[in-house]
Amino acid sequence: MGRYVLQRILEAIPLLLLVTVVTYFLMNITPGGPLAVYLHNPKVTPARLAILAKQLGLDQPWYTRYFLWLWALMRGNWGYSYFSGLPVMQLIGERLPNTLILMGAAFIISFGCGLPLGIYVARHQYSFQDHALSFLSFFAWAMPSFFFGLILQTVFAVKLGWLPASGMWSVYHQHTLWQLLRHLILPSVVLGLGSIASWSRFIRAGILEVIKEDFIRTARAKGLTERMVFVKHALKNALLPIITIIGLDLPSFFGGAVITEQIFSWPGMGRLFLDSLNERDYPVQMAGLLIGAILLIVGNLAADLAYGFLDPRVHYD
Amino acid sequence: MKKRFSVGLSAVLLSSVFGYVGEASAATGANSSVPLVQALGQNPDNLTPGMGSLAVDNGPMSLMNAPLIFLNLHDKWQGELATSWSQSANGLQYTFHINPKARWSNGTPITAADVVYTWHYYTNPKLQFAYVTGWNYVKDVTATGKDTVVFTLTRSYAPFLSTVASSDIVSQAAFSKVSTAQLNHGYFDSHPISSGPYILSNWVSDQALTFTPNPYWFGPKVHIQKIIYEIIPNSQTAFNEVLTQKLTMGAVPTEDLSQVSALAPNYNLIAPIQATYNQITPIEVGFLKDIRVRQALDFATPKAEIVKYIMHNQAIVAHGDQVPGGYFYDPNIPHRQYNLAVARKILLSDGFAPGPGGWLYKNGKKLQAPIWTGSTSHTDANIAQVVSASWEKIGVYAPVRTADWSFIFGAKGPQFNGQPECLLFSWGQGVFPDDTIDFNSKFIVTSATSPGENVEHYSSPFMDRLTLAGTSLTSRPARRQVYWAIQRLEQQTLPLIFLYWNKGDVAISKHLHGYQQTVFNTTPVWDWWID
Repeated sequence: MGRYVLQRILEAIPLLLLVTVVTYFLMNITPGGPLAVYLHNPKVTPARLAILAKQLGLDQPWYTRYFLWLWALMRGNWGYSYFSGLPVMQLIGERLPNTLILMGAAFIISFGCGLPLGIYVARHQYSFQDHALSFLSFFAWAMPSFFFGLILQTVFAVKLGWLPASGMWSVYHQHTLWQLLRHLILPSVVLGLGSIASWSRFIRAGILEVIKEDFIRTARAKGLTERMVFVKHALKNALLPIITIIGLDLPSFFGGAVITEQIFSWPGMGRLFLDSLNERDYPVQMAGLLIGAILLIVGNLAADLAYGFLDPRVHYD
Repeated sequence: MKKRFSVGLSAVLLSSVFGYVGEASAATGANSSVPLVQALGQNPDNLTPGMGSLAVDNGPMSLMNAPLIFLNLHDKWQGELATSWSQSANGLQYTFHINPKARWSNGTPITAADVVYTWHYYTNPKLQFAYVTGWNYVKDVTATGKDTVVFTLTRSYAPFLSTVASSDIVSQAAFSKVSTAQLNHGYFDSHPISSGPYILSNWVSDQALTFTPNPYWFGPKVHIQKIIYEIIPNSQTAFNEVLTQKLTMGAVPTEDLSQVSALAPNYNLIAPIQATYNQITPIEVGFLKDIRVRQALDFATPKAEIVKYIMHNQAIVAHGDQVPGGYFYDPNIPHRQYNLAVARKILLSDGFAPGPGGWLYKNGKKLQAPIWTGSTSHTDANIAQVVSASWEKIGVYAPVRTADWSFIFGAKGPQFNGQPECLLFSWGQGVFPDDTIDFNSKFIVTSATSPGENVEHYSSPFMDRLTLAGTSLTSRPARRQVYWAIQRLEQQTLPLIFLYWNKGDVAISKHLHGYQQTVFNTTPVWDWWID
């Protein structure tokens, strides 16, 4: 197992390098650039632009800047934001925990709601409940997160006044766990909604496929209760494909949080990344893309390892 | 017992979860400890003096810094750090007397030496300033006493008071200890020092900035003990926060004006004109060089309809580049009323004739004026569509093209492709207008990094003389006459097709008193209080 993990990590390194090269190249051929924001500002003289370009190293070709960035990264230096001048690590360090909190909560909601929902509709296949919940699943899956977010905000914050409309903490009260949880409810529901819908569908399909297997008939023939049949035998096997899907969905939580964080003013990586795209802030962009790529690789690896743990037929040598 | 406990526990839980309503009520309590909460659309990029490039930096900076002078509600310069100032007759020297009671937030005195150091600070080529407007005209800054400082300029520079004298002063003692690298990388943001009425007591990135009174503030006493800027990037969310009464004041988006009645019990609504106008820049290539063509396009632009149906009357029609109500605004500028028949008549009398496709042609060339605007602004895109439809009715081929702003203003954009193009975008007007960069032929842009902003390639010897006079005359009434003449020339020769001045609806809590807003400014923060 250890060798397998090491092998996957070593395979990921050239992949990440390729991602960074392609991304850096694409960023640099995109019209504009970090100083484009000043092009339309008459107060910024060409002389000042030239000074800024030199100070930020933008007078060098893109491949030179890439290697300088890579060399600094290998020494643990992620660079400085072109826009604020702050260290990229500081910017990320301030926001990554907030995104992880949001992602974690969304994941708990998605799995906590998606799993029982999938089991329920599987057990009531073709019933009215199955059709109704399937319809709602597809509806929720198709709902744009920004639209749903604003609706929830309007209903629960503005009209009912039950929950805060935005932010991570209240500006009027001390920071407590309870305040955090109240602020977390709306954005994590929005972020998790799509996954509730998709995961419940996959779980339903997985259970329905497994339930027809011979070993399930054997389990019933042995006299086990229906609950035992589902939980101990069917569910364990039905979860195998969903593990892969969850692993692949992990980066989408990170990326999907961009919209949710904007709507709910959640101070996370999504907003940082979106601002860096608008500002052509290359060091911050690269950091965001690299983290996203790492999450994808880690998510895949975690899914494969979980697969091996759940399915004794799978061995990683 | 168990049932009563359950009921009691439920009551506690419910009141905690739904106690959010109480939060808003607490915000408007009857004492000065109630914070003033406002929204910012994004995190300030840098609060180090001179290094911030975002509009959102202005509010926090104004709380932290006391410049030598500031513009009061009556558009007159008033001393803040300076108790008085004078100007030499030739406009080459300005003398300021600094308030001897002025202190930094660490208690040390603010002296003339700090102002001298500030000059060195703003002219340090190693610091990453985006712009340091006006300081390039300063030849020398000398302290002639502990509290007296003299600025000597390289030439008479009329905007001196609105640029240099309004800049934030920095502490020699604090800044000289810090390297340029540290300053460039945000040192000051985590170690701020204030000269203004407030200090930055906490800044949580992307969340909130909290300001509390500067204990060494030398000016009038402030009443509000805490001012909080919450970072709310989405304008709809910010408006929802106004509806929940979390914000003491907030903007009302145009599309939410129908909900204004919901604000009435708790908020007053003001709609000041903003110093930004929307306009169409015709790049003077081909037929767009012809003044008569531009006049025809002006007649064919439905400005009043745009204001009414797209801006929902949250704008007023613009006829020049000076904001209505401002000192330099000429109220007697003649207006061109929307008239398609007159527009077409002008073009036909100018030698154009209908040709293939229904478009107008002259010497075998089609009259075309594509309209470019930013792809991220749906309002501008709507306006472009309306204008395009109207221009096409008089035979001008005017397709709408949207693109990223960095492309539009970049080296490969429509400004430099040698074709007649029009750009639709918003522009701002400062406290002191400087039309040199906009209309002087010396500042016609030839590349993406050219100085100035004469994007339209406008050239007029009259305008050249007027714009230079506008920035060198030292007499304010004389400058006013110059800018009136500029506005008349703009109306006749149309370097730009002006559309409208923005009005910004702002909801102000009824518990906030002393706050007033004009085009360029508000009442000072020490005049505000919350009951």
